[in-house]
Amino acid sequence: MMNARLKHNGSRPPEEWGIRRPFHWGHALVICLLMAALAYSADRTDIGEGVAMSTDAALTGLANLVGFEREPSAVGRGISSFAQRSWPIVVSRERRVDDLGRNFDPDADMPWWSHIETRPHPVTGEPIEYLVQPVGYLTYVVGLMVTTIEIAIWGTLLALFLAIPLTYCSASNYTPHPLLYVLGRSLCSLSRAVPELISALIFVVLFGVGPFAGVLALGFHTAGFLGKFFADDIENADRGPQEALHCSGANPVKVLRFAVLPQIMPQVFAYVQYILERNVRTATVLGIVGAGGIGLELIGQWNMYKYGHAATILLVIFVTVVILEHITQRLRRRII
Amino acid sequence: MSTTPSTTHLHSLRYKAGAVIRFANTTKCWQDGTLALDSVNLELASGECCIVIGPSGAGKTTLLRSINGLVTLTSGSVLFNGERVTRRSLRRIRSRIGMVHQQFNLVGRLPVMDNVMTGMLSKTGTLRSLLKLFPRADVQRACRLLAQVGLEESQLYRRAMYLSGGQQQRVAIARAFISRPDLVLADEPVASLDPTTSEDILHLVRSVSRQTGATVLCSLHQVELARQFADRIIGMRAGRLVFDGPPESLTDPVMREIYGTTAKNVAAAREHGRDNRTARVDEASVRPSHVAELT
Ligand SMILES: Nc1ncnc2c1ncn2[C@@H]1O[C@H](COP(=O)(O)OP(=O)(O)OP(=O)(O)O)[C@@H](O)[C@H]1O
Ligand SMILES: [Mg+2]
Repeated sequence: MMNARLKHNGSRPPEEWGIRRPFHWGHALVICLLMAALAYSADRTDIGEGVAMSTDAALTGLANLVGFEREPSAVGRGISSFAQRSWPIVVSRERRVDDLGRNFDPDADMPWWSHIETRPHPVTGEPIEYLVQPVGYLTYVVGLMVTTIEIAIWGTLLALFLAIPLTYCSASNYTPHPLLYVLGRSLCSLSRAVPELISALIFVVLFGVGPFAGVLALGFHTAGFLGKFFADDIENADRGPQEALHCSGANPVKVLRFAVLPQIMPQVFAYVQYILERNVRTATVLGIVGAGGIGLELIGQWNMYKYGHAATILLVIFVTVVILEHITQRLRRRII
Repeated sequence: MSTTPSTTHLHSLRYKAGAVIRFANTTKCWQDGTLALDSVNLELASGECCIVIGPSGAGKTTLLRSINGLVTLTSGSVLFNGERVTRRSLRRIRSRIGMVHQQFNLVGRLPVMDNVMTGMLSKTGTLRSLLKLFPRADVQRACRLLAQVGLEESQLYRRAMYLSGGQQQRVAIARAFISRPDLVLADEPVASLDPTTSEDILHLVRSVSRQTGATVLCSLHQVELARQFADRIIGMRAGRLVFDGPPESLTDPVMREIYGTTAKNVAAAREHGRDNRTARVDEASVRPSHVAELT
């Protein structure tokens, strides 16, 4: 009976319906063009050379493993020299007591967990007093890392604060005025377009070297991310409850509070968590341009070829990022 | 304690009270040329329960939505308590209208309590509502209403998304009535519910509206339910009112006029009604006690 009715309407029987194939020559053409573009770009970015060098290193490693002699590769030489120079990592800190200043009083001014060692000078042989802190450098680096995290937290808070008005303007269905919508969206794009390292440079000039410049750089950069993410979520939120609240005579702010915010809350947490994490990672390099944190120490040690110190710093950063990821993951699971 | 409302009595009261809603030559023509409302003239008296029936596409939804400004009219007007519904008067008028939606439209992640309180937003200051600091009297009223629609204290802080369809619709009814509206609009409030629950829900709408004196304008596809609960039935077809009268005068010829001339349609509508009736007999004994209490 179904069939008869379909035929009656002038449609073809289902056996003859045109079925689309999932792929056709257009797809093949697009793939070929993409491959060609990638090949051209690989040439320009030394991908070929890099792959050759890595293959060489891998082969050498493999040969050594099996027991064959093979000429050391360039990459392999680099790795081994870096590994040799950065091992052992520097944990302790030693300073000549003479350098600490005339006012240093060994009885009163000794730092936490430290002692004074007397060793002969390697050339002249005269005895020299050193102030030795067995974990002094590590605690110093951890302290710097804490500052870095503080910069990231304040940067995230600033971003959240700035994102609220940005979001309100950039959500097309709640914007107070179409012009404000354009303005909000443009500000979001602008803030994301300026890399933190560049804006940090500017803020260092304006506010001087120190953590505050880093906070501003992170805050202004990530406010654009949050503003865009939140606004997109508001636009995509389920319209049914919003309509219901509009129908009961609630004004837009109340509708946002009761029909939109609860819906987007899980995403809001996810975004803030992501932004906080990436701000910690970024804050570690902001110090390179003088915006406070662990980066300044890292670049300083690196430039003086003190790879042992640099390795300590890298290790602390790595451990921090891993721990932080665990903590935020747990927090999120609990909140949502 | 009878469960069927005495319809004739209220119907005769109709023209004594003032009109809550008045459609005056209300016309809506969609961009594609569909005439969803074709110069509708209609008055609803205070306290009346009016059910709109009609085939799909007849314009029932459009009729209801034109009252609270969700549809902009092509010509004519809608008057609410004698005041014309315009862009400017819209928010004030909306705060006097409750609405029950087909898809409930609760905020899923908010608890039941907050969902009910969203019905009071138009009467609460912005700062107060942002902090969810609703007046104690309103909160107590919400609790009473929730108890009335058959929810328990243990469900007060459950998220709405974890409730069953019937429970969600009960919460939605509490939300619609909490602001003591003059008018409650319900667009197919039971379309996604089973026959027994449908009947319970309509019972609730009816009893709560009786208590608060609210006028009800409801669209339904189940003709038998309409007969059972309406004081007045409106039949729509292709944007025009083709029937307006008490349930008793909804005869087979009238049904044919509303739903089309093919006898098949009427038979189908009858069949639908019979289904509901049998279900009612089967499940009358298991109907929750609160429904009986209310009526
Ligand atoms: N947003 C819209 N744009 C264009 N046409 C519309 C729109 N909404 C409704 N219509 C048309 O208006 C007419 C009436 O629609 P309406 O939704 O009011 O019908 P209804 O009686 O509620 O139907 P149903 O019982 O299926 O819900 C239909 O022909 C429909 O196609
Ligand atoms: Mg409809």
